[in-house]
Amino acid sequence: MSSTPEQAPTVVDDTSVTRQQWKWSALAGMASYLDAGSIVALGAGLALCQEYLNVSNGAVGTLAAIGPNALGCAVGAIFGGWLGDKLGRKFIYQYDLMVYAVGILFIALAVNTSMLFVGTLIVGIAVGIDAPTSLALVGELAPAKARGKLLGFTQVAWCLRPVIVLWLAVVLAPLGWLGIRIIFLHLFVVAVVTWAMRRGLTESVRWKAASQAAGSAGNKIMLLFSGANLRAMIWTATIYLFWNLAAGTAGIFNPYFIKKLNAGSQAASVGLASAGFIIAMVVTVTVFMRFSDRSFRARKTLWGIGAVMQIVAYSLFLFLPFTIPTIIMNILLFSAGGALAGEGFYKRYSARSFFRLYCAARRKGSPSVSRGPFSASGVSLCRCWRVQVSERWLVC
Amino acid sequence: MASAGIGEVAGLLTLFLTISGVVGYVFMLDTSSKSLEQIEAERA
Repeated sequence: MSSTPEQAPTVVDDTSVTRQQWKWSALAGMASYLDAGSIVALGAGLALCQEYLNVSNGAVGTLAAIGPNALGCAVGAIFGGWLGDKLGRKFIYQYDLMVYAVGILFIALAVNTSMLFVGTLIVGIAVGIDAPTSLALVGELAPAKARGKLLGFTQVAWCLRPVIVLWLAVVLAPLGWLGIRIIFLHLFVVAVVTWAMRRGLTESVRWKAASQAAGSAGNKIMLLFSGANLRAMIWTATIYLFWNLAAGTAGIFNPYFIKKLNAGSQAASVGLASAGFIIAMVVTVTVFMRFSDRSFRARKTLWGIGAVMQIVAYSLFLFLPFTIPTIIMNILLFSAGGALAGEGFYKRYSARSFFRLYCAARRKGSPSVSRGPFSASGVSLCRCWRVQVSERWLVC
Repeated sequence: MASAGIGEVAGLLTLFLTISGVVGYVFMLDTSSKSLEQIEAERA
């Protein structure tokens, strides 16, 4: 937990990843870990807080809408990406996790609905601020032929957190609302430790170089909405939006389906849900991180295999009865396929496609456009739409 | 959603995944082995 700044990793574009690059990626990847942790903890705790704090059904819906899985995150991502480009990655690292920790404390110690709402909104915004900066930093420090490896590593962090929180929720379930408080306090501790470890990081070398580049803000913004950049943006938006609608629906509704349709117990529901995240982690480490940097052909092959697996995963329900074996096949195929043709590639391409389009705008002191807001806002806005669509389905 | 039935929901999700999969495969960007600066220079 040294607070002595260490020199930023030298950007060398080859295949080797230094120990320092792994360390910085891990610290940046903690954004994904805390992001997923707060989403799952809130999901696990909503029913209990409804009972303990006497929260209405409408208020629960509002909480979900302003939290880290929806609007709060979207607002944070838009401002966080802008701030990360304007003030630097280090500035965000110095302050954002403390804001997150304060929000988590509000939720953990909530004795009324107001504290719950304030905490949820703060956490949502803090998660949204941290995510684009973290992904930008990993994209900037990674060698060209290992970018998929390091961005895939942040996906592993994302998948690990729900597994831990889901099982903590099961273990602490007898404690009721106190168990949920303990889960949030655990997130508080992880956030403070991560913040302390991040104090040793220095500013991104690429950000510093980009911030010193000259150019016209208007021209840079026009560049973003024309030619290859526009094609890249439409491509990443299309694949992520449609993939995320399916992934989000699966994440939210699989446990619901399993329980409501009497296809299994609560333990089976949690077990199956966490099995999906574990499968995604294993495939990310053993296949995505290993092959995604090899060649364009390798990437297309990975994507093609992953896409077919996911399509087959949901086609199963069209032809087979809705039973536990069918659900297991669905989770296996969808989780493994999603690790190959899903968020990992979205992160990789969004981190590469819009690099340095912000620098001129920043220098001119006018509203900037960067890959930070674009990549993370894509995540957040897709989440918003997904939550709204999912809620509409749920009430039908 | 429960009243709609798993078949209808699964059909919709299959459609979403097919769109994402096909668009992703056919129009995938070739940025392999290029540094961020190279990609930026090519698009400038």
